[in-house]
Amino acid sequence: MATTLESRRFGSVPLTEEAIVRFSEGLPGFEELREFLLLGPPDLAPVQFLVSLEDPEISFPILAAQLCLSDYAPDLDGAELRALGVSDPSALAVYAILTFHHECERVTANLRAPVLINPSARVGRQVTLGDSTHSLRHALVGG
Amino acid sequence: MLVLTRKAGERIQIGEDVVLEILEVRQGQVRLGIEAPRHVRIFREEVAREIRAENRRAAASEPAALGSLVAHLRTIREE
Repeated sequence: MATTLESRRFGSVPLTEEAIVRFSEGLPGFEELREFLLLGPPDLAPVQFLVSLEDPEISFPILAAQLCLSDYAPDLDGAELRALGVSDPSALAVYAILTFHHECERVTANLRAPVLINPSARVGRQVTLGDSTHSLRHALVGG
Repeated sequence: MLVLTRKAGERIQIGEDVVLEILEVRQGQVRLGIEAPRHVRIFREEVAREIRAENRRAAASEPAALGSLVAHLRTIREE
């Protein structure tokens, strides 16, 4: 395996097995992309990125969902937890994908379809919550 | 696509544990009742489409506002 990942946005990034997360179903709209590097540039913390290994020009900015909404508690059932190899939701890292809207300084977080990662097995899934109380575009900056 | 004709009050069984019931048909709208196990997530098809579209938008977005977002998040943390 290559030991660096090259992309326009991030330049040359060291690639370590521990930072690779496998999404067996891809992400909605990107079903063909299965492996992502979880990248956390220190100068951008707490924002992190999922960078596709198959297509390094594709990356998703993500943020721990708790930082988007402090009492965020998605309703996850046993089958979803088992698919990620855990029995307890607290074993998962829960992220929201961020969208930066061009037209204005507006940033929103997708809390309707959080990204769940089992950090020890390094597997992830983006799940669509049945519960519509969580917004697809929860405003973080710019209302 | 399988096409079935049903009347209000009639049901359709899908697999072992999913049942759709036509509750009401009125003025061009159909109300459906759905019984399914908890692990089957049910949402309007538009939701799945919106999530695919939002992912594409997120992947394409140039994070011009990244600096202000990071500054904003750090301010919250310090509070």
